[in-house]
Amino acid sequence: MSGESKRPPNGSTELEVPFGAGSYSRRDVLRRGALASASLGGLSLLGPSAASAREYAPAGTGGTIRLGIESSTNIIEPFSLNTDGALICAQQVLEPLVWANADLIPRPLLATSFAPVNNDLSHWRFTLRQGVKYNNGASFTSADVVSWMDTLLATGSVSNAATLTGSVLTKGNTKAVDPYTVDFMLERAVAQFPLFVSNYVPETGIPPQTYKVGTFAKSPVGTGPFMLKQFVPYTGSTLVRNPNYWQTGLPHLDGVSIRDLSLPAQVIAMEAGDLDLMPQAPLVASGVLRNNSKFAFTFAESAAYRELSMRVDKKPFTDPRVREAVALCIDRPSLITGLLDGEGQLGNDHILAPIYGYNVKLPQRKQDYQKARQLLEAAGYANGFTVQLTAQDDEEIPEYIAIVQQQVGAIGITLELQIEEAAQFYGTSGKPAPWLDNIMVCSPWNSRATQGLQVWFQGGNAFNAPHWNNPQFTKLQLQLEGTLEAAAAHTLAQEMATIMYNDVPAIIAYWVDLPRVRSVKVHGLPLTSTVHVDLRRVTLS
Amino acid sequence: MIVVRRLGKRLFLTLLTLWLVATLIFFLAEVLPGDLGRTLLGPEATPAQVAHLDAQLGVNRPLLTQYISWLGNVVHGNWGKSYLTQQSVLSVVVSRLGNSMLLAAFSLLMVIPLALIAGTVAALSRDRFADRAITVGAQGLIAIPEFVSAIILLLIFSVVFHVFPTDAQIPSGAGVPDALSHIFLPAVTAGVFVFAYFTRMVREGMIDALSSAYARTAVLKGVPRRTVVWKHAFRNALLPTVAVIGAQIGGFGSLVVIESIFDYQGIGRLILQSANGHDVPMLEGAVLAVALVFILANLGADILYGVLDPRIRRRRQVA
Repeated sequence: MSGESKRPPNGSTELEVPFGAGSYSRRDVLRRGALASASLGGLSLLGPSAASAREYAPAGTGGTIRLGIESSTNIIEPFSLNTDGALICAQQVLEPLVWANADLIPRPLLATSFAPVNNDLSHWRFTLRQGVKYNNGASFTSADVVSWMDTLLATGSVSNAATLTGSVLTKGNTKAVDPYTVDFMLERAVAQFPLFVSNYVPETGIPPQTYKVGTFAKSPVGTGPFMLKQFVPYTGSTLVRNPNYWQTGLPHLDGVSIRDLSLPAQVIAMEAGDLDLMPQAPLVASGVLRNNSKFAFTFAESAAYRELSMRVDKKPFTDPRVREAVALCIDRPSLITGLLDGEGQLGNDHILAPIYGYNVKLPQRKQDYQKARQLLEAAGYANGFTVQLTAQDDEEIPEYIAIVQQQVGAIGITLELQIEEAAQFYGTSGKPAPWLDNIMVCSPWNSRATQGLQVWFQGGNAFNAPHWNNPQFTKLQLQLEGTLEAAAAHTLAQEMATIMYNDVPAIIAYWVDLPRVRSVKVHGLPLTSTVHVDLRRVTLS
Repeated sequence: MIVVRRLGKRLFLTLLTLWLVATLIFFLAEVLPGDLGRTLLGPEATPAQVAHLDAQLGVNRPLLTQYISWLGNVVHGNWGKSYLTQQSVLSVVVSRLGNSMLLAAFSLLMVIPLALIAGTVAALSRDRFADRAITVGAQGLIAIPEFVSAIILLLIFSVVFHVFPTDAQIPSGAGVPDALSHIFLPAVTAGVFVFAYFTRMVREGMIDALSSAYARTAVLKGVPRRTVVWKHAFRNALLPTVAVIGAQIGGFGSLVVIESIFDYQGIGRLILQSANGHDVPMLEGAVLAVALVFILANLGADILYGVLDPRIRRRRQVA
């Protein structure tokens, strides 16, 4: 691996610092930034155009960057971006109001500022950037924002945006104040609402009000730095520079080529020099490139995790002592070392990821077979039990659950592993979905920009795999969502984490750092804790 | 009249076969894991959203209703649109089939002459070093799975020597040399097994032909060896090989693996993608196209067999 910082002090920049060049507390930056940003309407100071010129001197201009992504992209539809390939392509053409990199600081993009009206966190006002034009010549105005948000949130909408933001914002509550001002009237107070209309909810990239859902491939109109030239299902897409992009001087590249390739094919293509970037490169597949000086690896801390959920309404997991016993069998540091090559953060069986900066303090759960056996015995399972563990065949999950199987075996628990492809795992309409119905399940979760977008453990949530319902936890999560003040937020987060930690509806053994591999000739790529790729300032040397 | 009746019978059997294949695939697709709505919306859609989309698309209707609707459309020449890509099934299938046939043709063009030469050389030097080397070599090549030979070829020619691109997809507007350079490695991969198989077939055929009564008679009559080999034995030795070539042209099975490894947009990969995504109209179209090519290729092999073997022609005339 080439010598460079794995974690720049500010994920929004392209600073590349050699190993050992200095120490910094990235988490401090995150904590301050994420919490403070919501109260600072005038975040245009951190806006992208200001940052670009200062932070990065281009190594060159022009050229076409070649990306590989494993996604089987059949269609690119901004209303529902169902694959990583579709997401990466669409985000080059369509822009949201707000952009956040790995630091999770919401920066205005098509907005110039945002703030709660009269300090009411359920009423947000966004000022839009003037002079922005779509690549068909139309001007970007508040009517486009209102039209698109209402489309996403229409009754019965199947958009992922409706899943993520539907409980916060409903159709008809995005209102144009004037051509360059939009108000969002929320269902409740949400301190980090700007992140709900950021790249972390990718469907919030805004097409013109004339856009008809289902026509993007034919008329890919957007305000973004690139224009879609060609899309071939299952093959990839080709994009060219938008010559009239509103950020003067950007993008540096002439074009982008996105190829839909399996992970092994991406690795071979990288080695052969046929690809420049793997935006998502799990070490299970890409580890072979790590010692090659032609490539640079970056790892962004993220809130992505593997949820090992146990159905609290089914024996033997109805007893929290049994769930805790299972959790006490897991040797977490060895998982990070063995599965992630050290590139992950310890999990402690609660949903408040370290990157959210709440600074939750709980004793780190460690492997303790003696206590696990005692708990199991007290729960009436002294001789252990047998249970099926269903998991998705994704990244390092098969290896993870094989280790779990071996570790819980030490206290007499026999796990029968069932590893399924995504099509089986997520199930068929009208039938029970294994990932939500089976007694013990391991599923991957992508990183979210805020815990407010990570609500799976609330009672009644459609994705509540452990079927856990703790009214106090749900209440606290809603309170935290509406809390701006850092100390109060910390207290609420601490309480939430404690409830989960004690009740153990699921084991969250580690948080995955998002690995990304690029050729060393690629410069200026910001870190993101998801698959998003911001290519505006990228150059090729 | 006999010819017309025979053609009619063949046509009827062809249509019957296609209908059976299509029906079988339609009902088999139902037992595939997964869901169309889930594929379209991704894993983070709620079950309610998936059910809603499935209802909109009509894929939650009774299977028989869907089947009758689909069959009615196909009979009227309407192959429909892909559920997943919204493209016309017919145009995609034709394009992908063309890609696969280009790959298969290029591969066979490289392999057949080499296999004929190697098989003949092995037969003529039976039990000597050349024969052993060719036979053992062919046996070894048959034993190597395609995904292994593909990776080895990629590592050597793309990663180490940078001679061929890793991407087999021919860029639009590419010239012939550029196009061939893109499909060379997949064609070689597809050809490895076929070469080994053909070589062994030719060798066996040549040995049989050379040890037949007519060849021995020709030798005893003083006909030069070269004439015996190429004029008398070779043509007869080709007969079983022709039948195998027919089956190989129509059989796209190995292309699923090869097209996936080399990122080549052929019919094999289309079948895989459609099956994975529960895209029944596209899956049906692709399978029907492959079945049709298979039937036509075997028909062509039958005709060629008759051309090469006068006994078949005479038997048919008598019948």
